[in-house]
Amino acid sequence: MAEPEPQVYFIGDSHCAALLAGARNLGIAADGASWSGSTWHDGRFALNENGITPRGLPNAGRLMDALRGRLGRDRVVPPGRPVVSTLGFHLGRLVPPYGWNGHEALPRDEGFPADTDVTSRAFLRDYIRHHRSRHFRIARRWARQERLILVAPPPAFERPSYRAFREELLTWYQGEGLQVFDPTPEFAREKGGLVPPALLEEDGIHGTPEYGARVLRAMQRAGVLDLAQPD
Amino acid sequence: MADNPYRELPPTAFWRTGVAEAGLFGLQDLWKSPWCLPSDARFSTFGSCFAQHISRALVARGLTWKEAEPAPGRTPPDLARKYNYGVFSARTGNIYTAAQLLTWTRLALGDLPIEAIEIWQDDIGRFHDTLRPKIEPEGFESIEEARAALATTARAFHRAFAEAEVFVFTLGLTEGWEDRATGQCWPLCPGTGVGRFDPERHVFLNYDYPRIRADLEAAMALMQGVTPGLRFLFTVSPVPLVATASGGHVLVATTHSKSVLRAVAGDLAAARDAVDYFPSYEIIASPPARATFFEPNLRSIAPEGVNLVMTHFFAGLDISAPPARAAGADGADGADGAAARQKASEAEMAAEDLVCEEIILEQFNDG
Repeated sequence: MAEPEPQVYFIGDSHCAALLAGARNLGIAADGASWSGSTWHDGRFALNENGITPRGLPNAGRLMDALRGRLGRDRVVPPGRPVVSTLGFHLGRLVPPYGWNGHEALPRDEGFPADTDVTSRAFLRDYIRHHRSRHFRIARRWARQERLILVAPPPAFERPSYRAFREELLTWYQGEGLQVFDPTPEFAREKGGLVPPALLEEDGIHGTPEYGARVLRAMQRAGVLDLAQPD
Repeated sequence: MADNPYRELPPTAFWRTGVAEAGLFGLQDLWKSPWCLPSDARFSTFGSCFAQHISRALVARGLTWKEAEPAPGRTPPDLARKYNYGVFSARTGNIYTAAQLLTWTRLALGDLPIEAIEIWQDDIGRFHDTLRPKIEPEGFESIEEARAALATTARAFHRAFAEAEVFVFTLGLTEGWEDRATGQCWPLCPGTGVGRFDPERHVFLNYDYPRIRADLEAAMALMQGVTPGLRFLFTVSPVPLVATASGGHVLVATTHSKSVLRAVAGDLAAARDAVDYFPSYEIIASPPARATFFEPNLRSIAPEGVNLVMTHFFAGLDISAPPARAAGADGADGADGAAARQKASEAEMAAEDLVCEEIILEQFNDG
């Protein structure tokens, strides 16, 4: 029996895998492909008329070819269908170098602990925009081409720099009109405001399929993810 | 035995042979460092704008410039420049006067609280650190952020004298402004970009020789309290004053200012083994140069002049002593705290990549 046409697609870095698995757990017809965040960080992707595609990554290319093979067409996401991506975050590659010389980025409105070496928020903004300008440009083009929903990574651990970078990226992308969902409020009542360990893989960074399902439900409740058939 | 002491002097002691006949590019032995420094000696550099040439030249020659407040890792050069990272050893901006140097030293040691420095809010709600008014292109977004950034730089300034062998300081100005109520010195007159001028509050000072010398001696004593072996190399910026508030002509005021600074630096060098003076001022501003190295505005120094200054600097510098620090220590082979953090961080990122790949491989698990 042929697979049903997906209601939603997931294309992004490794955090997309949990979202895709979560969708399937919820009984949502979904398909997609994901590959390493380090290559997303490095900008090894392109956007053409068939959607987002890896560049110079044979394994990721095979994943996309397999996806196209399953769908039986070159253009992965048909008009009107939502595509969920983690494009533009990849915090595991973006945040650590910022601290190499002892700096800590601090979330806005959380104060400045004594003896913390800081840069200004304006510097942080410019630093992030330098490293994510290509991601942002492509996300904006992608959003014009397809119904793109960006999802921020799981709030899995407590490090102020990660929160500050996430906050700055969300402000930027949302301010420019991109549809971005932040799963953080969904876990606000959990211990420390973090994803519970039971919803995280052993690495403590990536969400499980159950995490993905919870985030997708939250997205649906918030009206961000609408699976209704397009006209 | 010669009939008078001049008979035994070398040609460089006479103007005709030392200067007139030698010509600008034939000047010899203008400076010889009295110190035999270790080959890995760390130099911290601060002062007026001319001082930034020294840091660049040290780096270009492969010497150890103490960068106590580098920009965050993977900051592109143009962004670092925009936010004034990498100009001086810490992000102090220009330190024009001895009074400012003393202020920074006291801040670094906690002698002066960060709150003692006025943070000024502009008309669009941005905040500016009046001790380094040009440090942030847009200003800070809050007074707390401005103070946290100032404290960050004060700690870096502390590292700059605690973890260096030579503290290079370029004296720039005698003229400055102070807040009558708080005593805080301002690098720029309030109202000329940052701050609002209040004639009841802001007073003009043309620091004189005793005050400048006292401030330098106080700053040196405080730094040597932390680093007893620290040496000080003073230079005087050849860049003339943009303007004078002394009431006199700016040309006359410039000569007065530079003369006083030159005299203080020279006298300190003569009086103390741990102090030396390097004659960058003379190379650019004295008769043999015939103002050749001044740009058409007769203030800015052309790169050729900077190159000549640094050629004399490196000709006179002696770094022939064995390295002072073991391999792996700060600056000896680059494996300092920052490098260790970077190594650990890169290992962590590589490990996370492996994890990411494993997560992705699960896509192929049909079981």
